[in-house]
Amino acid sequence: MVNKPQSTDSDLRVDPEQLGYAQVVAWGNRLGVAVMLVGFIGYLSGLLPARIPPDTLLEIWSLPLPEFLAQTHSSTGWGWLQYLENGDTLALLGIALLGGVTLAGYLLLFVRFLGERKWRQWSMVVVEITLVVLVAANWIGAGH
Amino acid sequence: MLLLFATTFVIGVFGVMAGIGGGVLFVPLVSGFFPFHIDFVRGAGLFIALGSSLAAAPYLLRQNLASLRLAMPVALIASAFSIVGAQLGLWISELNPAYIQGALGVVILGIATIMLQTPIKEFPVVTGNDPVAKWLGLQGWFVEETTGERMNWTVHRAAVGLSGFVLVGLLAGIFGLGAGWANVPLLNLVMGAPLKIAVATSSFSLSITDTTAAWVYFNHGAVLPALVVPSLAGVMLGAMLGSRILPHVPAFMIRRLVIGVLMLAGARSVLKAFGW
Repeated sequence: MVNKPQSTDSDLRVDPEQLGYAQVVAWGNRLGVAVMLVGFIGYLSGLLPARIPPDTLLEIWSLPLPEFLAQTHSSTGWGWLQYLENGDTLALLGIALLGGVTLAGYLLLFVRFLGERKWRQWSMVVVEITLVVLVAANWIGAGH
Repeated sequence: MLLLFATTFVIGVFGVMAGIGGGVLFVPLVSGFFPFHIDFVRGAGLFIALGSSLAAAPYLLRQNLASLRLAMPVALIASAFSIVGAQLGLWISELNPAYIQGALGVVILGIATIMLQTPIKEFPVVTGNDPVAKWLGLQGWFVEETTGERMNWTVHRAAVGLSGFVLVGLLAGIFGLGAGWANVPLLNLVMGAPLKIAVATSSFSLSITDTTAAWVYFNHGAVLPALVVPSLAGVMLGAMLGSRILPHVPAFMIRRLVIGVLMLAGARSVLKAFGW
């Protein structure tokens, strides 16, 4: 439904929690992309060591996942963190940071909605945070 | 890798303008025409959808075109069921990747058909006083660029619309598609949100919806930086351009073009499943 009442400047203020969320997303996105690009450029240029060298990768990126993991001796879950000195693993950290941006935004909403006692919105935020934490921590939907 | 970057840049521009996100175009196109295993393509597809949404979200939220209030319940339902979908998709793929490739082609062709036959409405007429929408505060406003006027909006049939996001989440997780292709029809046609709100809220909510399924693929080791990084860079740059063009172009024209590409990609996926 759309209607067209007279509007004033004060009518055109966006909800502060929405603006705060936008700010978190903007900064989180920049951080994730920066880490991802630094790692990947270091990987491609050879400035950083490679966990899986590009030449090897070309030969195995069409393999099914279990075979790929076996051939590269890769672990699932958070095991990759021990190889952070490698460019490709650093790029993976950047990708993981992008996966954490929503969580950062929702933590802000958790505080805002709690402070404003907006219980319905706060409840949705709590459930979403719980889901993201459980799945990111590999406690549900786990890869072994 | 340059070809992958160029392909995904174009996907980013059109994905956000059509409100379908990048994933639904990326997965069938890249799994059909590039040599990567479909598990990696689906994992990347979710991060592509997530990344393009994150790139577009700040602008859309600040312009009040994307609604946080509307996105929260939608994304909560879809993200919960995308975890189940992701688990299911990885299990089916382990049985035989061709099952996923073929099913993906059929789903993509179905999505294109639905998009083709669905009469998207710029300003749907919302009747009644929906109790669920009222309870969740699903209302807002945006400024119509052509007239400079503030336009108030609300939605109806919220319970029916929100339940549709169960299926959306499942399919997003199974195929790594993102969910924008279904978000817009559900928000616009079923729930009655104005088209601009539906498109922008869909583009934004993908960042929440796809986060959970993306973590399932990530934790299974199905995320390959060499595939994700050039693709994500391409899609994000494309999405930034697309989100700025979005208020100035008729969305239906972009949709027609995207439908054509989806039909081509869907057909290719089906053929590939049969080894052709």
